[in-house]
Amino acid sequence: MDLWRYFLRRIILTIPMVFGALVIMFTVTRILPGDPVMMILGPAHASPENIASMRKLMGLDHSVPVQFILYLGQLLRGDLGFSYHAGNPVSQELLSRFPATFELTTFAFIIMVVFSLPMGVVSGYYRNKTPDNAISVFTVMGISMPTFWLGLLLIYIFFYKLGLAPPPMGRLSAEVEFPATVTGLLLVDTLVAGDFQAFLSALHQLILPGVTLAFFNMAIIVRTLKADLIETLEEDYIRTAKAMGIGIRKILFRHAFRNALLPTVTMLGAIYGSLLGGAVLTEVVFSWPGVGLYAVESITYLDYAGLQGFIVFYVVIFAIVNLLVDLSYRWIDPRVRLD
Amino acid sequence: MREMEAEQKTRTDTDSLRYKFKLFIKNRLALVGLIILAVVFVLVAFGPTLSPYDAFGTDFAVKLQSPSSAHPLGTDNYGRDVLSRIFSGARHTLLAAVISVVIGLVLGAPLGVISGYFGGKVDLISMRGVDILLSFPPLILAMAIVSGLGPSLLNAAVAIGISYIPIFARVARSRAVQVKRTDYVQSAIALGSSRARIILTDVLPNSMTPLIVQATIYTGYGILWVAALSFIGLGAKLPTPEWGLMISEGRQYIITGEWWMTVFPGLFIMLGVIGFTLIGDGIREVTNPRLRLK
Repeated sequence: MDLWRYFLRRIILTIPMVFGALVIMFTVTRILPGDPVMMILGPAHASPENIASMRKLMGLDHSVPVQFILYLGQLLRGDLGFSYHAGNPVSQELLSRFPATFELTTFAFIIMVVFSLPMGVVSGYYRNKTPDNAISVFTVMGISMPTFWLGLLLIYIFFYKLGLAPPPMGRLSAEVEFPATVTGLLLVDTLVAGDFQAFLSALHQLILPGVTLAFFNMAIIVRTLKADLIETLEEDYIRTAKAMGIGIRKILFRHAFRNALLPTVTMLGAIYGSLLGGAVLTEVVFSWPGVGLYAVESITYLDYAGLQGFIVFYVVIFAIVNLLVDLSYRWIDPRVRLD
Repeated sequence: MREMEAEQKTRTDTDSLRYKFKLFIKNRLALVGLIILAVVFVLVAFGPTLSPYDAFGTDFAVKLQSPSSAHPLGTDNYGRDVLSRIFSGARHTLLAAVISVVIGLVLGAPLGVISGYFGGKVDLISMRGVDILLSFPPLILAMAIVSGLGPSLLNAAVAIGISYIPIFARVARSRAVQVKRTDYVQSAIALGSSRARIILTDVLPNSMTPLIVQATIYTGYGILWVAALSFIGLGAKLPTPEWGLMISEGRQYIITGEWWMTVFPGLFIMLGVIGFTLIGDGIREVTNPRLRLK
């Protein structure tokens, strides 16, 4: 009961956030200097009649506030508009592309957590000793490397030099057939289809973009976790546990780690958001057919609807992720009450 | 008596700028940061003069050459000298990053101070707005804004600056809330100082340190975002030797093994970010005695 009320409140609180984001988005995209009508028609078909009818078709003949209200009405019906450069409704385009982005970000998220949590603990425990210094070099590099540059570097080393990675073009090798779409996640769909070779190809394609995307945020998690662990290790109850002769491993993982994890988990929501943002760059570098690449293409083609759809989609996903993160606090720290 | 005097002396010493600077220099990482930044600033100021070649001078006879003694960092697909382009381009990337921080600071800090000092409804409403802005990662927000303003390096800087507003507003707000509770502000209120006066003479100066730390670190991140926006075509335009744009130009050649067009501008980006981050951390450590003791 309590949980449901909390859930509902959070969802209601999300509405002004999405609305605010829409207002910002809308005003900003409507003062675009380029003319999308000309872009769609091209110089050959830009007769005054064609322009006028196209403007009408796209709803650009109304004033901006009216356009906004019409747009909101559409949104409530789940209609994100028509994407002219892709030739499909925006919602359809985003939904068909989202699995690619979701697969990439989730894979990156797993890589990130698997590597950064142990590194954070080691770094916090061996503070200012060799392991910590080595990890520090790694984290400083991680936060200061441009994501897209790292991606290109990995392509050079693992594709060009070593020949270990596949060419950075999409989600499956050209020789492999796409499996029937069940979830849209290729790692799942290939297994459902029982095509193990395709599964390996999908995994193979995923590794470089996954690592690229994970790197920056990995560094941030390691730094946060290290700082929190250092603070936790100075707490009285840790000293007491040491005095009682409890093994250091048990202290570290049963007591310190769990308490130090909370601020890190607080960040995970923001980090998933940042992964979705970073996915834009990674998708461009690896020609990964996800929503980020679609957003960049929409900008290039002055496709209002596409870009707006991407932002709306993004805000909603972000709100959902944050809700899940808030709920997970309770699991990690029972003292946190849902209010 | 003499002891007390001595104690007084050391106390003022630990607060003096000279002492803080000494501490700062002692911190080896901060010193490295300072050296890196000195190099970067020399490039910003004298980049084109220091360049051995013209950053825009194409020469197809020497296109796509790997690093050699004539061209230490190689040449690009137009035969332009990569080293010269990096030197000449420092000012584009760096200035855009600095502009973004200035915008974030100038708009964000007063918002945070006012919000924190007055509290109540003002605080609630402005912080809601800040939360909305914060819900976008800088890149997504900047994509939205730049697509509205039209792609250019300045617009990229403005967009990143807007995405920085919530960051500085948050920092300034939390300091303002703390400072407002201190005795000296409370006594200033009791003495009847005007709000404007208290904010200008007490709250703002006392919020400076954390703001400076954030400004330094976010200038570093600004380099990353500026380069990222240029990379996806929302920042500097060809043939500007902006570092992110250079990477984007080199992108198609990395698959065929011409790595120098991409690798070197990226290294300079990294260097710049590391410089600002180390300095920011250094200032934080010097000004926060708690961290210093550790």
